[in-house]
Amino acid sequence: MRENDRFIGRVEDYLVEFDGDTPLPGRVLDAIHAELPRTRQAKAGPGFMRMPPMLSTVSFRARWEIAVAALIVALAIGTFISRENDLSGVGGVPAASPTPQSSQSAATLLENAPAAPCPGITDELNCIEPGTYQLGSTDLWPAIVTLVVPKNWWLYEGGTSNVGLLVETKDNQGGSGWGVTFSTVGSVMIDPCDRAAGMFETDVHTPGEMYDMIAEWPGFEASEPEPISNGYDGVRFTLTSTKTAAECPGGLMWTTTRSGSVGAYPMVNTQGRPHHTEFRIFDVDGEPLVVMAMNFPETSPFEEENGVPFDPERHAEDLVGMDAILDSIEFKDPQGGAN
Amino acid sequence: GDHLHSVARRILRDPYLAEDATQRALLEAWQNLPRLRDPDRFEAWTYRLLVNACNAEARRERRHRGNLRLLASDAPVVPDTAARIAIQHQLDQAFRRLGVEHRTVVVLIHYVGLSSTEAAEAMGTPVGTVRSRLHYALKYLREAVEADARLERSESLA
Repeated sequence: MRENDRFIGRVEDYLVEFDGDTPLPGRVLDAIHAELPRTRQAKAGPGFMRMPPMLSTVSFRARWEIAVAALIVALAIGTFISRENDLSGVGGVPAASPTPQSSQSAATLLENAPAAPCPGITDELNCIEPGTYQLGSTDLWPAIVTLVVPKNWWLYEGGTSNVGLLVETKDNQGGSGWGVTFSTVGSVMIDPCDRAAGMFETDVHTPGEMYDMIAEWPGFEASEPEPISNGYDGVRFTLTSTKTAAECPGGLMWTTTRSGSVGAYPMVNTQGRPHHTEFRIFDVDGEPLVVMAMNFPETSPFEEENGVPFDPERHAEDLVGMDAILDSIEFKDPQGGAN
Repeated sequence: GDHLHSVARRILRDPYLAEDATQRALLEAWQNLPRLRDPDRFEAWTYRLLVNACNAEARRERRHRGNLRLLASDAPVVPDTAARIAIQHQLDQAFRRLGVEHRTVVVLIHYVGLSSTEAAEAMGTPVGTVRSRLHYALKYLREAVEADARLERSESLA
């Protein structure tokens, strides 16, 4: 049994054993019963299944049982229910739709991207609809960042000002742990594997400063930086590590400007494999914005932890989608200036 | 009602808040039952009401923390070895420190047994968000348990 499975087993044992079986106290049911005469039922709309009238003289338990029984009967005889194709199934909750969310960009915010099937992988709404999106609100990001998301990718929310796009895979229901992430930078750790060492005292303002800090991390190897620009100047380099998760527990690289945190995955991983991860750090008016691309073709550490056999070419085809995302990234000044 | 109550207790970890959340969810279910368009979604719908109720109670709890009575964390149902009890205790401490959204996703998936898609529907969030939160929550729990275990080992050696 894998270590991950053992740990999940412990969590499940904990949840089952927590507090034992605790029936709903009678006082709660009494309170509900007392509340019922004052509680109006919503009216069913036209075409919806109609529930039998609930008489106030009938006990709460009986009415609840009637309601459930009515549903079961409806299911059993195949009553036709007007079925709307929305995600919630709960009355009154609208489905998300790709509408402009920012006054400064016509693109929908990534956090509002509609869910979509993943063609060729699953019909479940595990991915986001392909299209052009804005990374996030300019409250959380120093620039308007837009990008094009291809099919079969889903939104990963790593924390405040730390989001990513991960590719969907057929055989790992927990996700691939492979894709591209975006984050702002608050403070950089002196050693990602030693929280007691603290953070660099100076705030980081330029990509060069940040590269110099990263290059000092013990147990990590950074390639020579090369200058890049997309209107905002930056540097690009590759980072690897041979540290395992056991040697680097809770590996933390930096905090974001909004007190989020960016971990050392995938450089630090359970297997100790050196996965080459590409960093692009842009200078957005004195604020670094980091794009981290796991553009290696092999099985990701997360996948291996979840039992996917190592394959050096598992994500070779997915690199096409990743390159499309990276090539589509555009930065715009939130004040409206051209960039 | 009992099952919903069990789920609420595990998410909120406070018996009074869990009772209030269950009461709220059942009343809302009663109130809105005529609007339920698809009987196939009854289960997901009731979980959604419960999750919303738990979130509301958690927000209320943050404002009135002085009234919080914590559930007992030292009463496993099955008597077991000292090591297992220690791990349960470490998990309990770590679970308390998770935010309500992360506790919710762990409870829905690893206690109730929902899939990521079903949990996403219950929470009213995209599947990716559910996966992210689950990934973070399990990672946090594992690291917290390992850190506590290391601390206890070093204290026992001191």
